Amino acid sequence: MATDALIINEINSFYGDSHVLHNVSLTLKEGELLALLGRNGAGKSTTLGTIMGWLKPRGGQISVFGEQIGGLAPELIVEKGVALVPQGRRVFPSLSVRENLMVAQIKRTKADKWNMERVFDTFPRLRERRAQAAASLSGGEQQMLAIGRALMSNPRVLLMDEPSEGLAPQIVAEVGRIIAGLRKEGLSIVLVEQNLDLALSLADHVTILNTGRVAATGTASAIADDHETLDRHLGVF
Amino acid sequence: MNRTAIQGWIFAVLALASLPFILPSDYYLGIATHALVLAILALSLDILIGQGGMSSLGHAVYLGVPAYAAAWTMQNAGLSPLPAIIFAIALGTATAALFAVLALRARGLGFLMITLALGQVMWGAAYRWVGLTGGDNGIRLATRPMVLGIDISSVRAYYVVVALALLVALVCIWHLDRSPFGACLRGTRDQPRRMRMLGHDVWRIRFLAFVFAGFWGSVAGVLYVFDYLYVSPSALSLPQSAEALLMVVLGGAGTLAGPVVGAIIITVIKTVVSSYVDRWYSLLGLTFIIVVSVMPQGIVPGVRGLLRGARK
Repeated sequence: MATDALIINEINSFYGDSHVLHNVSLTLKEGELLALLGRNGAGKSTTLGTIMGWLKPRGGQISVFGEQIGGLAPELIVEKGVALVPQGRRVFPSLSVRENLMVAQIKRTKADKWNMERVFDTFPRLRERRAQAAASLSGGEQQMLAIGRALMSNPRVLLMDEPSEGLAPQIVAEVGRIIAGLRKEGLSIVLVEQNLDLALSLADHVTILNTGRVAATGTASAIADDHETLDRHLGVF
Repeated sequence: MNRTAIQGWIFAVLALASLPFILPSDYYLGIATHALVLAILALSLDILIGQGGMSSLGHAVYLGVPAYAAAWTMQNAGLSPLPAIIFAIALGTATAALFAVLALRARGLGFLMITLALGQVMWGAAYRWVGLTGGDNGIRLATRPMVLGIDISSVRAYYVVVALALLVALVCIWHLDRSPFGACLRGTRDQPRRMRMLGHDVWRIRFLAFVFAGFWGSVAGVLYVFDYLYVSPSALSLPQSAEALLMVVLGGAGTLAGPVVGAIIITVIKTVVSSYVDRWYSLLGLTFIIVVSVMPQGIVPGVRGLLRGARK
């Protein structure tokens, strides 16, 4: 039986006084991909922000491979092996591609899988542009850089916030292939996506959020066939 | 290293080496020495401003404290020059570490005001604590001491010392800029939140940058006191801090050549032009306004942009 890479148990998160996440629970098994779906404002990014430590959950537990991370500072959560590919990519515009990756390369041990060469092997286009400022990259290239940067910290759990957002269809397909490749290598991934087809094609399990609550959860194929649930919570079909 | 960088370094070395032969007299070489000492101070401040995004109005502390420390220990504690220099730089750097802890509680305007206040505290102490600092009279050194058995008393010899120190400072700061730490520092300047998300302790990065800047400021401070053979509260004053800031902004923050160019221009206006023009302060202001309106990024990035445009 696969171990659990990430467990969120009954967390509640607040922005100031407004209660955003209500008793959200989800489980990501090792080596699997969990798609976190929902409409705008459903609490997807808030969930990722809470996992990363930006929002301190009130009550509930978050654990990564059995270690509690709830309430830790973001930089310590990264050390526990969690990395985020942020929404809107957020690369460092004035740093070169190489420097963007260099910045993420911290506290390395010899057994680490990811280094700059490997990122360049995975994303050959980044190697071509390694001396260029990140601001001069195309959207797709910036997305690859953001993914590469997250991988440089050698995560055991990778959180991805809408990696296909604002990309041309052929680039979306390429990003999809990259994510599938990472999952195949055994990386545990939480994918937040608006692109339903992409998410369902990549995911093992799906959790759907609606107004800060878990509305449905199940295997990707079960959810894909459950048109009523998709219609009610995502407004498709 | 790309071609432009190599050309830049060759130019810098040649320019520094040829100045003693080009300048008409020791008087002008002395002014060049003053300019280069302040160039090191401006370079150290630019670590904070250009790379770290932290504008300080108290950087003269790291010029004045080691200058006083070196002068005082040699004059009153009978220390020989080398231990005095080491003590002075260590004290200046330690002061930077202490003040970093206080100033880094805030960002932006708050940071600026704390550095300003700390600078004023040190200036006030130097001005009022007459028993230690000699108050407004300052501390005067009789002659430039022998360091490691080398006679640096002549204007020419001291110019060589300062020019070499500037080159070492340039190489170190250039190296910092290209190192992973430099990338991290610029990362914290642009997106501190993202840096935490990548597992960095942003405070620690800023602290180390502040201490590094304090170290090079202290080197400038020791060179300063042996240059003028005199230190008074003005070395710690707000105008001195503001002048260093002006040098960085005028020359171009975040570039290696910018602070040096800024230091040279301001020193030339202050010392050479002021002997011909009465209202040289107005001239300095006017220069600043013109440069900032024509080249908001500073002279070095501005000229670079013009050259790139001309090539196209």
